[in-house]
Amino acid sequence: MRSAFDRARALAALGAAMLACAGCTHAPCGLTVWAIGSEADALERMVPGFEASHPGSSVCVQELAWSSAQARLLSAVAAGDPPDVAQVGDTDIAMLVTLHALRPERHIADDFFPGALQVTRFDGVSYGVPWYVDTRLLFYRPDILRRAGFDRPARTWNGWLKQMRAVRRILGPGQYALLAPTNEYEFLEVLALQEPAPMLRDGDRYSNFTSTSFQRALSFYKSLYQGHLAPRVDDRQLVNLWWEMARGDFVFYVSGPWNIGEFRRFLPPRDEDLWMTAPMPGPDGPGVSIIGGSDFVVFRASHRVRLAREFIRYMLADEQQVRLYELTGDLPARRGVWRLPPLSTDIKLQAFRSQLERVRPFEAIPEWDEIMDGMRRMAARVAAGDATVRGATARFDRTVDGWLAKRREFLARSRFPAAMPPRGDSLGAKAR
Amino acid sequence: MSLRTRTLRAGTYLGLTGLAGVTLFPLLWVTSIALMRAPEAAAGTPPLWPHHPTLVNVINIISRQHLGRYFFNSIVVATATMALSVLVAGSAGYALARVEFRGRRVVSWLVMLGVLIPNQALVLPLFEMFRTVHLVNHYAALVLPAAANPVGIVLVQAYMRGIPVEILDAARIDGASEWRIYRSIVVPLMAPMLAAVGVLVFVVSWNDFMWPMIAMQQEGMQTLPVALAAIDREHYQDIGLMAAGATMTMLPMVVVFLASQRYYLRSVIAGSLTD
Amino acid sequence: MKRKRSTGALFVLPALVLLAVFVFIPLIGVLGLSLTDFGVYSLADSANLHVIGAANYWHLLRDREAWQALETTLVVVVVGVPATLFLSLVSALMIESIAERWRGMFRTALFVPVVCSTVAIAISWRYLLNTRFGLVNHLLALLGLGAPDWLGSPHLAILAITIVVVWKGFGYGMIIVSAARKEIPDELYDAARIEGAGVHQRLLRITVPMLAPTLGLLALLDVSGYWQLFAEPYVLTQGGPLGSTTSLLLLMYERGFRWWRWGAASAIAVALTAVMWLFAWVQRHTRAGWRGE
Repeated sequence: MRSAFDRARALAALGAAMLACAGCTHAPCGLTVWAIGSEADALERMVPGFEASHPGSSVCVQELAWSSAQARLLSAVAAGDPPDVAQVGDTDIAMLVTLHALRPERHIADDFFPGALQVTRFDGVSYGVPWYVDTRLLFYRPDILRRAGFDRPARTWNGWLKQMRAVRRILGPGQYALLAPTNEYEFLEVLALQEPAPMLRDGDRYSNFTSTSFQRALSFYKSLYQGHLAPRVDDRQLVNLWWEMARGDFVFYVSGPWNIGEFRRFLPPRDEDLWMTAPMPGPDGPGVSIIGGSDFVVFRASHRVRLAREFIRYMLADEQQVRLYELTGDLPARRGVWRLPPLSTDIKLQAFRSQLERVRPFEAIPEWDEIMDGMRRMAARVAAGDATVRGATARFDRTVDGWLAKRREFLARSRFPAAMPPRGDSLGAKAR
Repeated sequence: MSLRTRTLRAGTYLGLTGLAGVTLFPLLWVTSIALMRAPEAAAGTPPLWPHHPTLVNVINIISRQHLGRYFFNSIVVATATMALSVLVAGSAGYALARVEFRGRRVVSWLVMLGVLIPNQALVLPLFEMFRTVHLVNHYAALVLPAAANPVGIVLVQAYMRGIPVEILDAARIDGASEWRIYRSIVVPLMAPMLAAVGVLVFVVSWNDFMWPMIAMQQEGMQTLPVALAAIDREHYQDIGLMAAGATMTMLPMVVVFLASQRYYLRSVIAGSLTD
Repeated sequence: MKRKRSTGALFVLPALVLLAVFVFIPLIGVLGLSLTDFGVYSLADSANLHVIGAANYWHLLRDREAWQALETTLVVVVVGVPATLFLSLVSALMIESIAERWRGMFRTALFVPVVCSTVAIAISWRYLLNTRFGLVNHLLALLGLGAPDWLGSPHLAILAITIVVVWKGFGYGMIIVSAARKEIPDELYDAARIEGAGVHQRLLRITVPMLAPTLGLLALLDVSGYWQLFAEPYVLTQGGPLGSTTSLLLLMYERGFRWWRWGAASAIAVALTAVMWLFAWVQRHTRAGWRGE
């Protein structure tokens, strides 16, 4: 029986040793870079090249998960130990700018997609360098569309509706014209951005979801579900959407560039012609879409700004942008890179190329993600017939106004209250 | 035996077999899917049994998703939590049951209060505390709060109350120090209960989800269930991969349970009969 | 004797320190946070941190999503706890009535889900419950029944989650009831048999009343566990469809760690704790009643 105690003591000693060692994993780093998910893997493979061309430099890449990247950056900044450089998702930059955490960026290249550059800019100052971009458009089944009598996807909402109705007639039971999962907000965000009025007003101080613009977008969205053109599913209810698409369960699918890689991964090469991409239709002509992606930022607390900037410059060179595309499928943020193969030769990328020229930036404020998530939940209710467009938007307006109360107060206290540009750019004014 | 008794008995066996089927089937089925190739698992309803068993999903989730790393984290955290909990609960539970000291009633009451606090409601201030002392993403962030385990103390306390006080008094009269009594008499006496608490804490720590997800944000530091949930968010479409991950998260605890069933069930039972 | 006194205190000191630092201080902390507007802007500049009194609580009272989350969590408790108790009781009594050598096997089989990771269980059930390809609907189709949209319908999703929770949890209660059943003296049954009481009467007159205190305690444990529902909806439905599976803890987590509204999230945490204490209080008083019989 003594041995039970001895064993417990040995375990305790082991535990203590492990605890003590938890902090001993950090090797000395010349430059610490935080990146997210598969981009971190890709960076890690590109780092040796940078180190070779910059003798004496050592770069440590730390991988974050998408689900916790924002929380991790925020807590690192609050605790005063951020990395030197980080990959930051577009919608998270505003929060870091609010925390005065970022250094203004210098000019690196002339050929960024303008939309990508715009979302890094606050009060005229840019706080990030676009690394790769992302947008949403149509994936579709050209063969089924042809069978329904159309050569290619329509350019307008009405034309698109007509196509979806026609397609629906030749589909079997359980098959739908469109897949737009209800747990994603991006599709409705695209529709709303295609309308003239913005979703927030007065320098992003108040909600504007009761505008006729938004109500029109929401009504269109609702009609897709109520007219049984799209199933009200969350994409986790699909077992394997690429197989389902190949089987003809969906003819249109609104999604992003990573799905080019996924379709090729899950479908055999002979099925390559079963799917195609096309730009978003709009209310009355080719429509805008959202701009997303990630940026490189340099933290104010960093002491290695020069090396950090060289690192970013290196990663944005043609060769590395192509390499990033090959490793991850991420689309280059610089237009020039698109003239190089394989980007220039892949027929399915061409729709992305043209859509990226037609994007409208979102309102870059810290609350944006929360507002979009709330909008998604509100829209799901409308699509389910639980609420009317008018009632739901009025209610949501009040909710969002409540969320923005703190922001209004913050702006009122801000030392530069006067020149308030229309798009929430005042946050940058606090940057020193 | 009357016909009625016999039908009743047959019904009982039938009912239990049915229930066991319901509890075991999902677990076995997931294990089976983990061994299927993608087309088999993803085309319609997966069959019950893999026609061509393969380890490709298991290899994928280990090599591409680094499951080994998370496995290691979970082992470290669960082991350290178990060791610390047993030490702390053992001495406290014993003292509360069998040693006179000032403030014993207050401490007992505080421990009972601790049982009634839903610990998941405390994650916000806990996170703030660990952030302030820069221990977020360290094993300590998971081990220390989990070792503050009032249930373990209550279990040991109740167990010690059942042990006759005469044994201890005899030793005290012999002039043995309290520490010596604890080491050479008390610990052996309560070893079965300590083992039970240890297994219980190990399993709970292994399966814990919310706080580890909050406290371990650095890639590579997560425990198995947290990593599994994160992989799930990106790869839920890959049923074979996720089934492999789920199986590998559950299997170690099933093995631990089967191996230590005697102790484990004791702690569960004791947990209900204390107060 | 003096030495002994201080030694006793030393024995409890580690536990006391851990409890103070990781339970009681955070408890006070969450109460304090709930009275402020702590959030992103106050991280940026502490001048933006205000004590706003009970405002977070007032907002909560008028918050439709909070009421919905309360309702969701209550449904899981109100449907799930009796179902769990029933299954625990029935399976325990069945196991205690069969031959000794089979008991261990069945006990193990019914208990296994309890030790499995909730996340892994939820992932498995998501595939089982898939509307079109899940095995559950496949079986229902074989029986000629419809194909319910388990996780896609706002009415069914919370029921599906309750089923998963009960499935995973009842084995725990089975062990406890099983142990308590062993404590009932055989003489009671013998006496009843002599008086001519049948199987049902013995069950209702002896077994159930004798097990009542155990069931009461079990109810409290189950309530406390189900009240803290989190991982199942996080993995199975992410709180949807239409917010129908967002539990109180999931709501707290989203507001706190996704949207950084710590004040509002803390108010939910405090409310959650308060209701839990209310449950405990009620349980204590009703159980006292049972004991009085």
